Amino acid sequence: MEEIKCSCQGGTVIMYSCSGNANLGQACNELAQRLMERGVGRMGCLAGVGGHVPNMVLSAQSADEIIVLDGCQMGCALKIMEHAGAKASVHLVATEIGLVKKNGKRWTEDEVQAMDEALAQLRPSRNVFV
Amino acid sequence: MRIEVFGTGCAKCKRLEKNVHEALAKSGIKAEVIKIEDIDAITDRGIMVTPALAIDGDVKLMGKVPSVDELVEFFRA
Repeated sequence: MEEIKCSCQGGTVIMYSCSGNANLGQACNELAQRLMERGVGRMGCLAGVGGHVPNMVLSAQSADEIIVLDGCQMGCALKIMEHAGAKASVHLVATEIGLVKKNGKRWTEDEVQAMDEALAQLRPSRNVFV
Repeated sequence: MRIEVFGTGCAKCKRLEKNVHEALAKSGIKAEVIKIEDIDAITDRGIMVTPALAIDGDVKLMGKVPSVDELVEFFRA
């Protein structure tokens, strides 16, 4: 079977964000939305994959590239993808780039920018990052 | 049989629709074919990767354009 994706820009990219309660989980969510607005790919629904919604799981398994954004080292988003049988192409953990997790706090612009720049380093072949 | 083809209208999605019609003609299987191009209608079904194909409401494949013969086998399964 010929593997052809609908996207005309080299395949389907889906971003999944942990979107947890702390500042960094929410910063992941903000970054995923910005990536989507920039045309990097589509933001996937992690809850749908975690809830084993069949079409959501099949979407994750069918993506050409999966970007997983986790706020902290627990890596919940990555674990959900693994449970769904979908392989992350890129995995960014906000605390691993020196950001500090603060439960119940809002994200800051500096945090989102730092994650954006770190992600660009993880995807050097892509020129869509500023 | 009710076959839904999901795609936003690019050449590859149209090719899947064309292959579906050719497969039905070749196999003699009777089916209603519906093309869904609205991105919101597509994502409302949880489909993030296109083209996609559903049979009787169940999404069977995403991101692939099977050949006519492969679709014939698929429909007969």
